[in-house]
Order: sequence, then C-alpha cells, then structure tokens
Amino acid sequence: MTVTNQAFSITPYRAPTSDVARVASATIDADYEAQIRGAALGDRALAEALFHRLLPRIRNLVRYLTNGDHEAQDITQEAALAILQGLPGYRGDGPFHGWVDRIVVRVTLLRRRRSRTLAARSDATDVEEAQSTVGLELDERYAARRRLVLLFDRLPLEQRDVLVLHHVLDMTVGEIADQLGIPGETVRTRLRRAKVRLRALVDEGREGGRS
Amino acid sequence: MSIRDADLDALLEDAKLDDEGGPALPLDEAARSREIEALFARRDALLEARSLVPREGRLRRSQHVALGGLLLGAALLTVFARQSTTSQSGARRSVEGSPTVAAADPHQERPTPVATPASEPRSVDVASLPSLPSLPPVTAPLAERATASSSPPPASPRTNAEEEEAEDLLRTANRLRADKQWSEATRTYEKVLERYGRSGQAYPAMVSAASLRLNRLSDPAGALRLYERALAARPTGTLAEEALFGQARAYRDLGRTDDERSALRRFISNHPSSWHADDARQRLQELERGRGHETGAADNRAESPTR
Repeated sequence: MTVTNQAFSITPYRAPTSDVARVASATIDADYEAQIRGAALGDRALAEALFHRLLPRIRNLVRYLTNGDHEAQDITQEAALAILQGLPGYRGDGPFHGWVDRIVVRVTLLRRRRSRTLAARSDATDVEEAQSTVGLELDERYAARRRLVLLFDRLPLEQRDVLVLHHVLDMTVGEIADQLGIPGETVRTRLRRAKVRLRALVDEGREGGRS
Repeated sequence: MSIRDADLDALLEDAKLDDEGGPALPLDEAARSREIEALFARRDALLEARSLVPREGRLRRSQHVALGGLLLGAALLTVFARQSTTSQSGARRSVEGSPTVAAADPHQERPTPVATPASEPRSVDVASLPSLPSLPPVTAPLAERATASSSPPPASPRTNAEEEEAEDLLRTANRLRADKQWSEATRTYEKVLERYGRSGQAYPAMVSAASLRLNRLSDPAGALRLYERALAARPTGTLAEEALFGQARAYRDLGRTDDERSALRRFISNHPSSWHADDARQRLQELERGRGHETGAADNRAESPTR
C-alpha cells in the first residue's frame, strides 16, 4: 500500500486540546526538572524515569527524519544512548528539549549517512501495522501524523531534513544551516522545493483517494 | 484543485514535535520499559568497559600491532607468574589472566591497553558460577518458554509481582556490576533467567551475563551459550546487535574461525550501520586473507580490530 492509494485528508487535525498538550509537554515541571538534574548527576532511578518521558519524543523525531519504522527503531536506541551518555555534560544553560533534539538530529543524520540502505526503504503498511500489532486506538492526530510522515518518506532526504528541522523543530534557517553545515540560501531553496513536492504528493494522494 | 498554502502550512503545523502523538509507532508501557532496560544495559556495558580502560582515543592500527607485541610479552610473563602461585589456571586461558590487557566489550571500539590496578578483579573463579548448560535451552520464543531449572519456575501467566521481582533482581545485578563484582553480578543476571525466564527482564539479563562472561570472567564458551540463547529467543531484539557481535568475538576467543567468519557476515548483513560494522568488515577481510588463522587469542585482545 502506498499513500497514493489512501484518501489523504487535506484538513489538518485540530484537536482543541493539542495546543494545551503541546504547551504542557514543552513545559518542564518540577518533577521533570528533578529527573533531569538527578539523571545528570548519575541517579539511575531518576534517569530511568526521565527516559520514560523522553523516549516517545526521541522516537517521534527519529521517525520524522527516517524512512520506515524498522530503521527508526535502531536509530532511536543510538540516539537515546547518546543522550544518556551526554547527560552529565548538560549544564542547563538552554532548553532541555532543544538539547535533546539536537543530539537526536545529529545521531540520526550520522547513522543515516552510514547506512545507505536506510534511505532506500519505506514501510508502506505502517498505519496498518500500528493498528494491528500494537492494539492501541489510533487517535486522529496520530493518524494524521502517520499519513504526513509517509509523505515525508517520499521526499528526497535533503528536502525532508530541512522540512523537519524547520516545521517540526521550529528551527530558523540560520540554525538549520549550522546544523547541516550548508549555506542559508541552500536551506531556503530546499525548503521551497520540499513544500512544492509535498503539495504535489498531497494532491496525488487526494486524487488516488477519489479514484 | 490543488491544496491551498494555508492547508499545507496547517498540516505542517500539526507535525510539531511533542512527547506523544506520533508519528513513531505507539509503544505500550511494557515495551517502553524493555527499551529503557536495554538502553541502560548498553550504557552499563560501556561504562564497565571504560572503567577498565580509560580511553585516549582510537589507536592506529600500526600502534595496535606494536603494542600488541609488547603486551603479549607482558601477558606471558604475568601468566607465568600466576601459574607459579595458583593451581587454578586450568580454567583460564593464559592471556585472559593478563592484567595488562583490556577486557573487550562489544560497545568498545578499540581499547587502549593500559596497566590495570592491582585491585582489578580479574581472577574470578568461573567454576564457582552456576553451570550454564543447566539453564533451559532456547527452543522457542522466550515469552513462550517454560523455564526448567533447580529454582521454581514462575507460574503461568506471569504476574505483575513477578515482573517487579525480576526488575528488582536485574537492578541488583546492575548494581553489582557497577560495583565491579563481576562474578556475583553474573550469578545474579543468571538468576533472573532461572527464576523469571519469561519476564521482559530475561533478555537484557541474558546479554549482560554473556558480556560479563566474555569480558570479565574469561569464559567465552559460557558467553557463547548465552549469546546464542539471546539470539534464538529474539533474533531481531533490541540487543541483537550486541549479541551477534559478542557471538563473533566469543567464537574468536575460542579459535572457531569458520564460525567467527559466519557470525561476522551475519552481523554485517543485519547491522550494516552499526558502530562495529567497519571493524567487523576489517576482521572479516583479515580472516579471508588467512591472517586470522595466524593470530591467536592472545594478540586478539591486544589489537582486536573488532573491539
């Protein structure tokens, strides 16, 4: 199954609680702060609790940047390990999630470069697998993101990267240029092309859904 | 009609990263716990390796070769000295007694051989550990296997209490390993297998015990049995990379070159982007050039390209 055979809703999901959830997830509460501090000091129990919270975020970001769930799984482990090992060096002088995200991006891009096979595969049946194997109800937001990431899977990697860094992580063009080591103008060009390509894919999906 | 810019922007707006909500496949609580357990097991293995071997960066191959020769000499001297003071040397291969040679770890890239403090517990009595063959063989996925050992197997189906007990035991083992009580830690990991073989903790315990047997207890045969169990139980599990690499290294230590070659090929094929893949390829090339046959287990430890 490919995305083109799937009716792709062009109406983005707008759950009334999504913004609240987003704000809540971005806010570091006291417990979270204690976990971060404790984990940085080597407290294992607090580090485990911290990773209970962090793991979904890491998995989601890796999946945004990676074609297919299988390779995302492998890279998630590497990224989580890099974060765990780097925690003692986290000094709290920047947003914790920003620090985590940068490590995840770095590890993911590195691992992806090391394995050409990673870029070549895409799991076309991901949504079905998610529904059947995990046995969890998929909410609308999740389903929308799955469809979106399946479209991302069909973008050229360099376009996908700038799209994810800009729209998923809210990074500026300058920050993306720094992260990827490319000129800012190249970032802008890739962003433009990525949106053109994404729009074409969405249209293609809608046409496929109608037929 | 083409999708409007505003709709496309809104789609992307909904993609903003948060802690839940995808797009990764959902992970239930038990799976998340297993992932985290595996993560800490990997980290512990790294710490363990580094506690033995303070690294100053990768050595070049030529440096390995030069150091390998020196260390081999030191190792032989050490073994000679040890043999004169103990009658238990039969259980250990000579080079493994060398306090100057770093124990290898699957996570360690290339160890820098340094002198180990005198307190380093290298002289573990492997014979005092429980016999591995008494552990139940893997003939089916771990979750479906019943354990058969002297300890009472858990009731089926497993309960939350059993899971918690297994977790506690695994934590105890991790703590013992952190305290460098290798023998006791190995025993405790293996207790997890004996008592809670069907729990989610059994798999990381298996790989951790294997790593300790290989790297700390100079028991590649015991390590191999555990790695094989882990690979049979979960061929694509979260620790399959470590298990397969460890298996290749155990074969190497046992001098089973053909098996090592097969394991390395499997490792490269299954984990082409692993941190160890380049080392595995290099070692495989050596073996295929026939050089692997010339290097014994002794200099393996000193200049292993696969570590």
